[in-house]
Amino acid sequence: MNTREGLLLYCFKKFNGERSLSGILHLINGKKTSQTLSDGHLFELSFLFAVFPGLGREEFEQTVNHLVEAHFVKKLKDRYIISEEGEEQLTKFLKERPYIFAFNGLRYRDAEMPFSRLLAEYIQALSYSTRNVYDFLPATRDPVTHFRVKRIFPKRQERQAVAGRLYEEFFALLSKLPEPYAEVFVLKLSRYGRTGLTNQQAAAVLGLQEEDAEFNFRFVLHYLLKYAEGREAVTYPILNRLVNCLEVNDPLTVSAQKTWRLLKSGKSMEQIISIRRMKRSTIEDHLVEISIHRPDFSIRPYVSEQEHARIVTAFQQLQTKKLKRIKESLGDDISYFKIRLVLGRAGDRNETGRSIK
Amino acid sequence: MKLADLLSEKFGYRDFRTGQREVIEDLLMRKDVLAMMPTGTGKSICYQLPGYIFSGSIIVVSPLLSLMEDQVEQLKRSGEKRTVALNSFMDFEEKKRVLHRLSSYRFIYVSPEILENEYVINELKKISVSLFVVDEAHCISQWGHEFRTSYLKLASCRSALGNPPCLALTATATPEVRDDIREKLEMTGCSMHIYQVDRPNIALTVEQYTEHLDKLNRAIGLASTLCGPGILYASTRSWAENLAEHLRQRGTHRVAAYHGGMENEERLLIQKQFLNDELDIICCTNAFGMGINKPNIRFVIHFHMPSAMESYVQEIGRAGRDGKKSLAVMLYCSGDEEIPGMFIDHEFPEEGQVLHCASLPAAGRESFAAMLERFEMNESARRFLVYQFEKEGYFANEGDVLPEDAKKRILQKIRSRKAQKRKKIDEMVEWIKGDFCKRKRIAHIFHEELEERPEQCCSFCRADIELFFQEDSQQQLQTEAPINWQKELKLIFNQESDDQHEELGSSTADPADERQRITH
Repeated sequence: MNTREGLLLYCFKKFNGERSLSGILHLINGKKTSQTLSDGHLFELSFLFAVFPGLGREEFEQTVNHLVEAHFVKKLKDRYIISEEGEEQLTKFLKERPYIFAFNGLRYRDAEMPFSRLLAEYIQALSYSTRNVYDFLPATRDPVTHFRVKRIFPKRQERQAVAGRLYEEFFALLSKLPEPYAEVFVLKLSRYGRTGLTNQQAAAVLGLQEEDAEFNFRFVLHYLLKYAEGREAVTYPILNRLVNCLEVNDPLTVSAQKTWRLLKSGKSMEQIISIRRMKRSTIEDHLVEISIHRPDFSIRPYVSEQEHARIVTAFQQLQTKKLKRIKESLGDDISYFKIRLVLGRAGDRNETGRSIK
Repeated sequence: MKLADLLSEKFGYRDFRTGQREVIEDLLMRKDVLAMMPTGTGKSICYQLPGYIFSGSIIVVSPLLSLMEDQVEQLKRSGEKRTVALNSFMDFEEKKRVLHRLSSYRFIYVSPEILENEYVINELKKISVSLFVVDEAHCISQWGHEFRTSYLKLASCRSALGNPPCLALTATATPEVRDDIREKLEMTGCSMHIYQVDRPNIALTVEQYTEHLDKLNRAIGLASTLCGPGILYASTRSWAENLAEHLRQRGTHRVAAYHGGMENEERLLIQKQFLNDELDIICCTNAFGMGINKPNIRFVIHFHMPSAMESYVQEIGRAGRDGKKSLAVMLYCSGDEEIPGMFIDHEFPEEGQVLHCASLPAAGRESFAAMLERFEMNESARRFLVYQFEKEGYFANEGDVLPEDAKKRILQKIRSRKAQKRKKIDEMVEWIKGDFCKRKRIAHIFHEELEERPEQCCSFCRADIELFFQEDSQQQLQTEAPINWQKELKLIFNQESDDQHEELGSSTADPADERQRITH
């Protein structure tokens, strides 16, 4: 089972038939809408946001059909549910990839490319300069990366020592991972004497599918980011210094950020609708997004305490995240908007927070 | 200081190559110069050397981001830090930083598009500009094969900067294109330096097939037996991939595809691998090549024909820049001309689209451009339409539709431009099929006299392709060592010395040290 099939199985398990195929596709190909973001949050799948960027519907459906044909997934009307056999496969898949949850699409999606360029350029420069070779083409053409590397690159007499420490840091982190991850990662880097490989080339050398090689590489980036900026950052000071060059970025969509600014300046929802000349439903989407990512936002003006309690009770009794069923059990006076606000607040918190770029 | 001394001090060359000195001397006399020099003969020295004589900055307009970056990289590597590239891909902060210290740069590379930015022009006006260079100047001519509308504004830009002398550079331009360049850049009394398109060290061969499969087999056969490194040109991305895959299956492993559909990072890796001789063959579209300075390319095979002789000459000109014997092979199968023919249709808006746009009341250039994007119109078609509408004053009269006569003019323009481009394809096909000396014909097309024919001239003159095969067809039997990531990691961070170098008793195992020792 390849990475895409395995992770799709995981999505089917988590969504448990409560969202359509489009819901899954938009999550994994990284369509940043309020709906996808709040779904990811609600079903604890935010970490798979944009795990396959740019994946098209056709290819996606092929994989789904493949899973159905293999009886790993059952199709009930237009909904898909993981089968017992699928569960077994999934357990095996996850066991072979012990650190898969270090992938964090929501948090690192925007950071992974800048981080990858930074590593590529910094490491290549270190690899050449520790051998006193200075005549090489930089690994990227990105002026921002050039600027960042220049700012933190060690002085001549420190280079060998920094290379030694960075080697230790990488060695410690990569040793914990299954070999194919570490292998793809080192092959993709350019060093003195060898230019880095493309995904296709790395896949060919290692006998992997191209998409798996690409995923492995991106996974290592996320894994490194996690350890370089998390609680263990002191153990990896050089990596931490690299990550600190990247900029902190907001997980809210740009449009939701504007709405949030207006809210903070004291504008009401009605005023915002007329100021921004947007549909009510769009602004509602923004508020749901904001309720997830801004702990200082109060949902009370939109949902009374009593309504809040009714929604939570219904949610607990029905044991579903399907908005329609919750809504049906509650009656006309409770809108979808209110339900989404309450559920947004009730979802997991650990996956959110600011993302970096 | 003498020019030759400056040349050796700054660039490490002992002698000027053909034309360089003449162009530079004219520039030093503040003349406008149009120079046509074959690719790979050191056009950039013509303005880089004066950069060390003039007191002000030198602005270099360059059409391709990658080309610009290559040159900036090359200059920086040779120790010239006062070099910068200004383009619209820079983020705002970076741009601001650069613009604030413009006068500290000796060489300022710009894209033609960024010169349309008023803020940039105003900043440039504040500094002293000694020379205005237009690279790939044929892009200014609509008869040129790479017409770019933003080039048309360069003349007004140059005059805004106080009319510094202008150097227009191109590798291939027919006389009519050359006239066009002078006129559009308002280079009055300009001095012309035209050097040969002909590259005597490249043998030109053409092979014709009636069956596509035969041509494919021949391409794969040639690429795997000719002495490399080499380039295989195809006209589509999928064919570039295809050819690379075929070659891999034939056991040629050091091959990769390169085209515009790939991620930037991946393209850069492939390019570097090729430059570092880690790859033998690149299968690519015409996205590959501009600005690539690899001296030892031994062959260029065209699996598909380009759309004009100008492109062809430029593409094969990438071979043999070290002056050694090299080979260009054009593989043609009847019907191949349909592909470039199709591209022409996509390069221009359809008549219906023009009529539709013309019937809409004008509402700003940006929203117009955004609308065209929604039509899924090809980029060059969009650029063309925006430019034509602008020229007809459409955006100046908000709320008005495009007048009838303007509409007719635009449609007429499209027709004549398409016809012109078709003629270029016909010329290419004629060159392929004709019974004549291929070299002589190229000289004729570019209005040159062929002084002498090299021994290995062309397929009509019976050039011997066998001479270009690998000497002993020792196909590199590549037994890839299994990957050991721990060892790789050591190599990356220069950590291998502890357990290996000590055994050797010195640090000479490091090739870098070796090299230094030799030079000392």
